[in-house]
Amino acid sequence: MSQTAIAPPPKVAPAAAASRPVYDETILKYFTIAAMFWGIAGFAVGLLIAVQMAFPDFNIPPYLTFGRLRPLHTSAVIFAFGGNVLFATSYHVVQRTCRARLFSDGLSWFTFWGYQTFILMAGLGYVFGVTQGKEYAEPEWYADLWLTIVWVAYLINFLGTLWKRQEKHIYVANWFYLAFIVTVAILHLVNNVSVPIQIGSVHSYSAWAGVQSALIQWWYGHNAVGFFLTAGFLGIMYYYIPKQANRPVYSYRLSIIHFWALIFIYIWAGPHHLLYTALPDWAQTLGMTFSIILWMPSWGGMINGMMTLSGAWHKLRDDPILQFMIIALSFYGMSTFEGPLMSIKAVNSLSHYTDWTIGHVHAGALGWVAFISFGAIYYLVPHLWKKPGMYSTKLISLHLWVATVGIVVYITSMWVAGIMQGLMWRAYNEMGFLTYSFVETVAAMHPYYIIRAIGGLLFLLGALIMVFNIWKTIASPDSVASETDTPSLTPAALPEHV
Amino acid sequence: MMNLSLMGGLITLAFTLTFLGIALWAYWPKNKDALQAHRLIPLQDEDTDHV
Repeated sequence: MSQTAIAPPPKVAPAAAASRPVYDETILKYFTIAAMFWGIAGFAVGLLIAVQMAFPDFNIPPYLTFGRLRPLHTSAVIFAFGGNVLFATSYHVVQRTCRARLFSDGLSWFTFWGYQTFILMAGLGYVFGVTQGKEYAEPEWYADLWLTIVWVAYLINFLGTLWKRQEKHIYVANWFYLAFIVTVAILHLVNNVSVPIQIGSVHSYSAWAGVQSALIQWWYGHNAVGFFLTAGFLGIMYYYIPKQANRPVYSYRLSIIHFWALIFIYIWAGPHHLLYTALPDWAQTLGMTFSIILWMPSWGGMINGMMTLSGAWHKLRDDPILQFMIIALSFYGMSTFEGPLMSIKAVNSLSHYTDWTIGHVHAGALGWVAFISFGAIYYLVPHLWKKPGMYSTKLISLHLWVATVGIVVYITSMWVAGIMQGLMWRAYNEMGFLTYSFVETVAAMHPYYIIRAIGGLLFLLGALIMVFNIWKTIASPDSVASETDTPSLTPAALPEHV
Repeated sequence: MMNLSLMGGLITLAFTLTFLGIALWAYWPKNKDALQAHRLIPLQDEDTDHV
């Protein structure tokens, strides 16, 4: 390499200063493109099932019915889009903040292809009716086993990179990523203990039954939210907001409290998914209590991210990438306030099983997870492909506003629909008879389902604008002026992989 | 053998004390400068090309 003469960063230990790390960025490109591919697929399926809710004729049996496509949507957006974003950003952040190349190129490529294989195994299973029937844990035993192998490889690759780091301290973003990797492994293993119903069968029996099964499922389900959709994406926040704003995070001490408070508290909040069920009352109250306590670290983290811009708010005015990140934090703050509220038993007696829950999930998923991911990808694409910036800043802004309007339309329609639904279910007359039949509540939802589908359409359109922008950025001929050698897009030609 | 609720109580106590210990350590005035210095790690990155 021609740049060996460049001075190493000041924090590098003297012994290691001679060898400047050569980061693996090719793998990051693959994960980034995969994230966008699965993102579009997942959002499109989401739009289709939203249309199916409004117009049931769009159900095409047997493969393309709501029952089969709904897990396809949730898995595609959470595990395929979100998962690839987390692989891309964690592999990027751990290398950059440790000043070390990823531990093993072989493991990096194995996690890439292994994870895409898992996505296909899971998704094809749903369409053909192969499912465990556990929400967010639908893949059957064979896909679960395969994911376990891929995940262990991921853990080894991440830990190995931390091990060979040249930076003395492990930056806080890596703690969040590591917590995500380790916790998801434990959740996955415990919730998916099962045996095939016979040798060679794709179907299985769960080891868990009854209320224990329900509690383990929601211990898994809620911590998938907590550690997959929160901890991992907080890792993104702690690296990409400071990078994009070119300012250090507001308080490192607050980030320590933020991290450990989430770790100690999140794991107990799962029972709030089982209020007013056969779960013992004390366990329900425990889940509710911890959900309310969780409000504090969530907002502590949000404040830490937002205050990073303290004294430099003008940066927010002209930079739509930063706007994506800060709007993401606003939605994070909003949904982590709404969540504890909905876990209060009195509120939950109205909200449970209604579309309010769907609205809440999407405030977090579209507003927080997807927006912070979009922000990180807009940072990553010019960085990885060595361009001066994205092809069009105006298109980033357009994406931002189309998607934001889409989210607001989505969640407000679901608030109205959900609260109306809850009130109609519980309404009874002076004789004690229910005022509405179930089908009347369904009919009342119809306009809101159409509005929700429009919100989803806007969100998908925004993401398509982003794909176009990324395409044009990568295809643009002008690279960064300081570049000396041409970055190659073909991994096989690079000596680092030999 | 220790009964389960006693064990649960002790674990809860241990977790609480551990967390309080971390919080005290993080906000102990003497540790402030050393901890806050870690904020700069992402920004002390040389921005060169890599493959």
